[in-house]
Amino acid sequence: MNSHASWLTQDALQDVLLGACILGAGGGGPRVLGESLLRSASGLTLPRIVAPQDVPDDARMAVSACAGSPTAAVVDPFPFHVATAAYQELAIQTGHTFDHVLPGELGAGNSFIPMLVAAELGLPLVDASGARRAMTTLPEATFAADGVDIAPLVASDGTTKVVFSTDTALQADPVLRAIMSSGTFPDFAGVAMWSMDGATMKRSAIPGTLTYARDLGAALRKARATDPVEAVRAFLKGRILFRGKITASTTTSAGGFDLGRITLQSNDGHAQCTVYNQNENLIAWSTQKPSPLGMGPDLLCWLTVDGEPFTNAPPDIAKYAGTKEVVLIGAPSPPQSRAPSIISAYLSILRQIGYAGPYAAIEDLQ
Amino acid sequence: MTDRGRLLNRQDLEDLLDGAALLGAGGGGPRWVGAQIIDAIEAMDRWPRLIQPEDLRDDERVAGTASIALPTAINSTDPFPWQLSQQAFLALEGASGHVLDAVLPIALGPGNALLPAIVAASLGRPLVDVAAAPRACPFLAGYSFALLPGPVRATLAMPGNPPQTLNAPNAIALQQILMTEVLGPGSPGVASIALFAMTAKTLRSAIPMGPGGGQIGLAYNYGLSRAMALGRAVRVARAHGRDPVQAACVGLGGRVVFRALQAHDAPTKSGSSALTFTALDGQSSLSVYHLAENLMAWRVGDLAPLAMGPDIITYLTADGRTFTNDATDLAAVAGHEMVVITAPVPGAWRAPPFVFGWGAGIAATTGYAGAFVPVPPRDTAPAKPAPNIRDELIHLLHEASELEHFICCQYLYAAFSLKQGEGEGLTWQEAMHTRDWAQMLLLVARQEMEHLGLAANLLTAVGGAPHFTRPNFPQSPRYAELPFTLVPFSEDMLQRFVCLERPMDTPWHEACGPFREPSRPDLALTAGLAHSPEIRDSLAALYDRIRTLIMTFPGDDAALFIGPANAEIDGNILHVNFPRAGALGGIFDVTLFDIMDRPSALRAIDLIVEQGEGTSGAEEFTHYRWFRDMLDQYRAARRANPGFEPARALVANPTLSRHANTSRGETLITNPAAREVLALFNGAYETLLLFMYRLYGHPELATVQVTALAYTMFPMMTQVIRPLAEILTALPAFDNPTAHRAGPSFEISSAISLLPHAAAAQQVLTEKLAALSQTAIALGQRDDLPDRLTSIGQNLLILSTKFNSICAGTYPPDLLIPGVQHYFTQNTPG
Repeated sequence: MNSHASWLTQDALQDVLLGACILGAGGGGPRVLGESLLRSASGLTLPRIVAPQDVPDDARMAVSACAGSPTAAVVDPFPFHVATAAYQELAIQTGHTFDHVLPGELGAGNSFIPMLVAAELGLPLVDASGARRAMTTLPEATFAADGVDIAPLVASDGTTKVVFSTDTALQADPVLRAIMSSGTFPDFAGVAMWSMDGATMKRSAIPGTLTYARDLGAALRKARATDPVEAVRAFLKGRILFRGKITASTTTSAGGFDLGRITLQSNDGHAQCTVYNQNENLIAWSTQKPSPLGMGPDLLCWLTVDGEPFTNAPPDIAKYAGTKEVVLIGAPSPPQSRAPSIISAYLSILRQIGYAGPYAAIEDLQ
Repeated sequence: MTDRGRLLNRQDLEDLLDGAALLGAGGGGPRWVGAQIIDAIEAMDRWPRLIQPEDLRDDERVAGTASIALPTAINSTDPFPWQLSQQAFLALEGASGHVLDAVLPIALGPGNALLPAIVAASLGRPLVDVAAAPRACPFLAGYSFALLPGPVRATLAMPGNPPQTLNAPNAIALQQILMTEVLGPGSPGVASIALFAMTAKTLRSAIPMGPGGGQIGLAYNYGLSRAMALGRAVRVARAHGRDPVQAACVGLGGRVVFRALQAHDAPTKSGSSALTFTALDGQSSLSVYHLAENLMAWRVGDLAPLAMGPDIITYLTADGRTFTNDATDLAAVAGHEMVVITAPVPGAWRAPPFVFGWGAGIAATTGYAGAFVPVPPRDTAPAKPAPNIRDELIHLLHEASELEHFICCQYLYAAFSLKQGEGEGLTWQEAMHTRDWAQMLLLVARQEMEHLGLAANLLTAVGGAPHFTRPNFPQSPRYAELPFTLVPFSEDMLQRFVCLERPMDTPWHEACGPFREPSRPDLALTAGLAHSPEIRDSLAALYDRIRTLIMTFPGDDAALFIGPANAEIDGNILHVNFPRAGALGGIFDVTLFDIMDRPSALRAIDLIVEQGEGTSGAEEFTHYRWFRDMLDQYRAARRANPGFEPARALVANPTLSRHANTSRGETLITNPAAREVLALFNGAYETLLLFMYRLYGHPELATVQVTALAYTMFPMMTQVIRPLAEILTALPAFDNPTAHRAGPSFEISSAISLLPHAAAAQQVLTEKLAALSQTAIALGQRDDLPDRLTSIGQNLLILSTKFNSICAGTYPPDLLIPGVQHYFTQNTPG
């Protein structure tokens, strides 16, 4: 790979979309958002992808993302410029000139936001992120686990800017949620945070996440005519946790957050699988087993049996519910995402939805 | 209607409160609500009458009532407005257009088991001994009544509003309505509901449980009795310094899963709350998710839940106080060691509809969406295998049968010894005393016969055989260091009776006066079976051990109660389940019933123990209390007249011949006339025992033969045994002239046992009755014996003729008393 030229061809972008959609683990933005962003990208000069080890230690960068409700995420074309605005504001707030853009996570939509910000600003995009999946809360990022200073944080829709600081990501998460639900930003906002240098990034980020998504997508694409499910499973070194049809998708608002629940019925009708999500899938249960099938930070990924990845977003679910046989694939997260503080962040959510047990790695839940 | 069943007293209701608090599984209404309701019932002085479903006619109608409340709202209602349940019940009666003849409990919980009780008491209607589940449930789907097909009508009474009628297509839809009307935003948060109006026939029906689920009885029978038995077990354990937690576990069939000194309740984001217990050492914790009733228990750190509904997750303190998830209840036990117990519900209540209903409810309110985790039964590795427990049970029931028999004869002897009026040198006041004491002794003896019958039914039920023989009198100390002797009425005799009927928690010296306290180490082993020495301290302790064996038998009711139900004798067969003039709640009646499961077995034991030692709420009707009163009266009468001798000069332990199986102290009757009457008495007594053996060991008998036995056995007691005993007490005991008189010796020869062959038995019994008749008539002709013997002989002849003609089917049915006639004509085979 030539680190001085972008490998983001149209084919590669499609592969990234497929892979990131799977790695979004039900969240990370709807697939339609990714498709919309790809269309937006077609008019831009795509950024050069830089491997972490090629980033100078004294380079400056920050995490770029968008925050908002999933329903707002289907706006087409999606105004990713809000993320650029936030990124630029963070540079002003910190007094640094950012010479790279750093993704925070992966996802059908969320992988492309920083890519387009980088394209718009003409900066290289680092092939690394704070998670090799989509995250539910900020403390789930490796940056949080490593104690990288998240402050200041900027949220912006291009006109309104909110800048705030907290000591930790754990503190920042509810503040950001409060801002997003306050009506300050009617639908969504760009977010920029975790301003850091190259040395910090190399120490804290999970490297190669974008290429991992691309390669996963490529593996899926190549296996479409044969056994796409097995190809994805093998790539992820995961397991098929459940196979069946989606019978229900509900969202309940309780205790200040939206909790989604997807229910599947096995093909023989004898078993039911329930997957809880807060955008991203958090925990999966089967009526055949008293312990969970899998839980975050490990991945619980959706795929149709004919190889179409999808998310928990209503347009994706509506497309397949009741009609298409789907699989839930469980896959281990990388070791960096199994840091105690990240596991604790997941468990704090799981405690609220009926799971009082410890984290159990997907490979231990056979 | 109001004569059926039995009146519950305060102790019953307090036992119900504690038992229902355990079965309420954290909910079922706060405990303090149940306690307030008991006080309200006592203030009304109208006690609920508990009946069984079979006491109702098919067309009689029943309906259930319960309370629904938000935890926060119920704590603002003090006193709790139980009248709402009464309003709802009457409103349902109006809405249905039918009189509701009895009140149904729906949930077993401290509030919701007591609410139907006060509605029943206040309206003077019976309370049916059932529930719609063996516990309290947070969802209607947990109750069997909710599985009835068709629309559901309910009436809802809320504070300050007239009752409203709700009609829903099914119970699930009704639940949704209630969630909005009662628990939704802007609602009062507290209401009472009446629902599930149905006929008694429907109540007694069975409902299918879906594919592979079989069917279950719609009603959870003996629901309230089971709760009372559980509460009683905890109370008795507490009173006697035993572990109440162990008693609760035995009663529930459950096990302790956690002990804690602290608990913290907090809402979850899924809609339920989690009461988190912190272990005594502070190192581990257990979260119990609940919606009032406990949904799921999870030991923090485990990958899977520990237990979940429909199984029971419940609490009590280490010192035996029950409590619920209610904030007031929790505050009341703050600082006490708390124990969490899990227990399986009976198998039928794990049928697919219930497990599915609970699963859906748990998922919706906690998030847990995994498999049902059944609580293992308590005795997966029993300390004793089932055969050994059955052996010990049968042995102890034999022991109990002999004891009841011994005691009955002693009471009868004392009663027959009493002088009968001023003609025997008594003042009028003294004659009144002896008359009252004789009546009381005969009443107690009758209840001992009832206990003997119940013990026989228990023996049959658990696979043993009725036991009506015993060694002859006298017997050296065998129980409570007290000899079994036939002695006339005296202070010493009364003190011995008080001691025999001593409650377990009454100190020895208080009840037994001068008698020596048993030396336990010398009494630890009997017949090769290791017994707790305590069981030989009192009758109550013996029955307590029997109760424990029944509850700890490692198997369900079907495994323990293996005897044929039709071999047992109930009061309808004997026609003794009728109220007498002046009867108080069946106290003066002989109550016999079939024993086919643990509740009916415990009911029998409760009845025996409570008639003997009593309960704190009804001790004025106990043998113990009566004998104490009698002793006080006797002492007062002796103080007034030191020469007062209430009894005739009967010898102690009269006997016709010396027996190998007695201890020293018998008195050989030598007067020829007395010997002939005593031989007649013993012959009649042995014949009576043969009748009892045939009646209680009768599985192959046609109904007509059962009727014949019952028709003969009871008149034998009043028309033969009693008058012969009275004649004996007037006859001289010896050849030489002394003041000593003979008395009934109740001797049994070794030949007395079950006559197993029906035709031969009929022949033998007929011959015996005829021979006894001839002897009595012949004796009646003698100048040295009373003419009354001729009447007794004629009675025996009538009984013999009647016995044979009923057996032959030639006895006119219209001469049979109504209850027996119905049985006779409806059930005769062929």
